[in-house]
Amino acid sequence: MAGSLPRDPAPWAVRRDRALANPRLRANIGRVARRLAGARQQAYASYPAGRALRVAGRDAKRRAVAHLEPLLDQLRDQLSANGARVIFAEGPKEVADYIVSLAARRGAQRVVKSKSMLTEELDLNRRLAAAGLTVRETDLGEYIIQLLDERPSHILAPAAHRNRQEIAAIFQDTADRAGVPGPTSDEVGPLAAFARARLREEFLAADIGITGANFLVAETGTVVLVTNEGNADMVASLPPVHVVVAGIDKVLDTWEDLAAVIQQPALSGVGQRLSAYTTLISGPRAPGAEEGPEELHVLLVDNGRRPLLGGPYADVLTCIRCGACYNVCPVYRQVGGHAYGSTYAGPIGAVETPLLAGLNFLPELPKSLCTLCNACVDACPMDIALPDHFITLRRQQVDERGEPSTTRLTYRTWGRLWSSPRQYQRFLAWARRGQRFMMRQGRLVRAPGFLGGWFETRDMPPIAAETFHEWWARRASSPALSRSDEAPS
Amino acid sequence: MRWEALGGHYWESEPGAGLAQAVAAAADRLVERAPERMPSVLWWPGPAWAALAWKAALPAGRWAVTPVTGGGPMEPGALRSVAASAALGVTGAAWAAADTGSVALASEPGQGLWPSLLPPSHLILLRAAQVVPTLADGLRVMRSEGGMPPMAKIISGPSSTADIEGQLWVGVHGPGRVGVVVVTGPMPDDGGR
Repeated sequence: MAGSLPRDPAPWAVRRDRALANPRLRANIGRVARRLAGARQQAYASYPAGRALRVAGRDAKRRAVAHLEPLLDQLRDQLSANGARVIFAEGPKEVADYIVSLAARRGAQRVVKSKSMLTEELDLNRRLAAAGLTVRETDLGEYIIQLLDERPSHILAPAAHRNRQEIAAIFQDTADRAGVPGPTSDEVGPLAAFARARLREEFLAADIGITGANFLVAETGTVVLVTNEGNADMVASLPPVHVVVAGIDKVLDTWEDLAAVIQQPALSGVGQRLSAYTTLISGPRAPGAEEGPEELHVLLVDNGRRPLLGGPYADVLTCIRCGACYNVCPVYRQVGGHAYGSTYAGPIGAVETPLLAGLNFLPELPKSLCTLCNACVDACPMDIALPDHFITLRRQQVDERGEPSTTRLTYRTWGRLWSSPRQYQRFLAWARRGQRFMMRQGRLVRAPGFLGGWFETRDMPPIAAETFHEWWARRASSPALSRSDEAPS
Repeated sequence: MRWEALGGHYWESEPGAGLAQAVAAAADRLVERAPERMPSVLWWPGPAWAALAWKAALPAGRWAVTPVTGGGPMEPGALRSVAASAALGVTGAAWAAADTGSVALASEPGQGLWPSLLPPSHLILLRAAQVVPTLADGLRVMRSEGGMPPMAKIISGPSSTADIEGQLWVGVHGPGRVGVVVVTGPMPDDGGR
């Protein structure tokens, strides 16, 4: 069954123009993306072992996705044996309903969360809030965008599109509403200190903690989380109930497989050998222990993933959400995450979103947000064949939906004019006669009708007064010219 | 070890009297003292360090130490608020990996993780024999020790974030200052874990 993802109601052209007309967003996103892409390259250069690990980790993920169902059963059995409750959930509604009824049973009201792209995908915060629960994001970037009521613009740096002054303003606003002192300045230190103090209270008061999972190990029944801030540890160990919401694609077979892939999110994402915190959760607190949650619930969510198993796009499910493809993508660097219109952005988002939610969902993603430059496949630690998927998805879209008649007519005409030398020469001669009306300062800047779109953002040199072919033909028929070295201008 | 390159503090010591001095030096370095307020310490390094004379390392006139030794001496819930208000948490370790500069902690009977999470500073006691070459070796150690602990964490440097304008900031949720004291040579009471 197709999954359900949130969707920006604005059409692509509006989302695109909104992003392109925001120079601050473009500068911030571009800077963060370039910095992370550079850090990734340096990390691999200074750590040769990381390259062999990458291949081993990729193979571990591929093996798991190839045998997903038995691994999920094993994971369920192992986690249950460890004392956790495991639930298979179809989509957003099942996940939200489960947590809401769990909260009702526990008399729980306050929920703290660490960053999870899956819960963004499920629009979980909105659903829980609608049921009367108070949900607090605790990753610093997620906290900022939650206060601003926005969605993440980068998978690792959700608030990458906002600057210090904007963040200080929303923190001050939050402080005023709570009647507490705001941040002492708009420097990073005081801003981080303000968030630390505010969120510390919420961690200690929370009734339920919700995290995602970076990996799930079937052999041991272990949930693995990686963070740099340490907030996932708080969410997982302070409230009396911990709920893990994880995609079924996160499962790995063995503990050895975990060892192979565990460094990849940090290496490929931020250029560290390992994140500051790797948290391994195998069950609720032991009897008699004081630390850790009384109850551990693990929700294994499909939301459109199972239909991809065994098919040509199955490698998409090996994505570890490192964001390396975002950081190198020339389209992402210009428009940022919001322009993609749903949860996942960058090359993987443009491919995965329609695969999860159906080809008619944001169909512009594979069509308009890729230049086929191949930078993403070079950066992807899992070697996901993103450019191939773009081409196949485009073909599938055309096969299933067809193309507007104007597009067909354009390409048919273009094909007829350019596919024989004689026709091509004739086209150039005709275009040269018309081009003097389309020039500015010696450049071709306009074209008639729908061809004009091409010139919206570029120009090109005019067609030469004498083309090479014409010069060659003239040279052949003129003995004087054939001895000269004169070349066409 | 890469630990220092990641922003962690590092001391080495022989077992015995020198160790108490190293722990004292580490605590002084890791804790920022506020005037007229004795810093509180949650001492919870687990049974492997029961023989360590913490009273010599953290004398009563300078530190307010809450030791956790053996089974829960405190009321339920008290431990958490002690951890939440401590200036320094002290724990043992399960293993450490040289190539990534990481130290692993496991929640076990007699060893909790809160001292590594809630205080602004965290000091880890580690035996040199617990250091393995690679992270994968360390994970194998964890697996070979029988059942998985309910919770374990691998720490690679201080808590950090780059969520505001991509600038690195240390100490956002977890401890901003982390240190290890590595004890070289055999412990007098080392039964070998």
